[in-house]
Amino acid sequence: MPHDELLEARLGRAVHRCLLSGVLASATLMLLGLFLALGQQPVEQEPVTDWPRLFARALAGEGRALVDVGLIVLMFTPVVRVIVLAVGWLAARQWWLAAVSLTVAALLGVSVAIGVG
Amino acid sequence: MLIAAGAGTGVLGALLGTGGGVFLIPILVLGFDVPMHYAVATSIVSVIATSSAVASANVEHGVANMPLGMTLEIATSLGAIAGGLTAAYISPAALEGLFAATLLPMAMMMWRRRPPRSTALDTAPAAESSNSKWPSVASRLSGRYHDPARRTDVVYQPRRLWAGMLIALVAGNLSGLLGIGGGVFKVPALHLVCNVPMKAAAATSNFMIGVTATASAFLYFGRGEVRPALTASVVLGVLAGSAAGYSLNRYVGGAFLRRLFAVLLLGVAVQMLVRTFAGEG
Repeated sequence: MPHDELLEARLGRAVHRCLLSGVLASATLMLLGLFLALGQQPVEQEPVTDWPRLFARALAGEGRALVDVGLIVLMFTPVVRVIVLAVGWLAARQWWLAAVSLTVAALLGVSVAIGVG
Repeated sequence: MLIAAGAGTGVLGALLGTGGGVFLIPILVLGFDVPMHYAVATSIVSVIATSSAVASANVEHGVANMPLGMTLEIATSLGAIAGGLTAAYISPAALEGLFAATLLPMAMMMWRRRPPRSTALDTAPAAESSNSKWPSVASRLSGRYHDPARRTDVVYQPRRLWAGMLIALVAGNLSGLLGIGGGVFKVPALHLVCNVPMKAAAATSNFMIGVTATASAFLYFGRGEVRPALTASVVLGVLAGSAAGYSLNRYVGGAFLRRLFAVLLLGVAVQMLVRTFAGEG
């Protein structure tokens, strides 16, 4: 198998593992959160601004907070995927593709900063 | 019911390379009385779920073209951020009218299109990619995958990247504005304009739409428009449906997918035209 194809196959496996882990982790957190929320008092909807408090509530077993964390994990999954590709292409000295990935990562960083920063 | 709606969306999204937002938003608004902006936010997050679940399998099997997808993601992310920021200031009715007018000719072209010419194995594009020290942009983005339905390996080299970037920018913008993944634009652009085979176009679009949706999802999340219980229920259904859709995709031919996609485009265009003329936007 040519070097390029070997590299793409290896990167493909890394991206596969990254996306699958993100999806499984977020689904587990959301399922658990929905299940726990059934037996708890409803919490009023408000934008998430205090992140440490959100994670503390999730660790304490609050269903609504676990669902929120599951959603956040899901939303960060493509961001991590872009970073995995950037690192992979940098390691393989594929400068042009690495630069493309880092540009996309920077754009996502801007979105995160504007949205929840 | 919400989980079932999400599952149906996931099957179609995984098969066609769209996020499924074009199906989900009308279902949520008309079937469950969910306000439009919450439906859009839910749809955006469900697009991330479809994309992550399906792309995880597609990249492992080499169907999604990662270099091509990442290159187009620059344009699509820029468009999505602009769309997410300006969503509150642009008339959705005017936008949907324009959207519908663009989709109608695309539906006809997709229905009538012959499969793009794919080269035989070990021909010039693939060889150039591995041997040349400074390969051209097009050869860096060439792709190769195994098609189990045709029992053959397919090799291709994308063309007209500039046009693909332009369409990706528009698709990203519409994604941010309307809460769809933008796959209804990306798949035809990749297939008809960039000469990417239908299956690779759907897989690459699916790979891209997660990033497109993420670029605007944080903006919706920050405004408190992502309703946790509603979104989590839909997303769990979408994940189950996406897995089923991906399994189906391995046994469905590219020509069938192309025709199914043409019908989808026509349906979405008609729906948006009706909303535009009814002034519901």
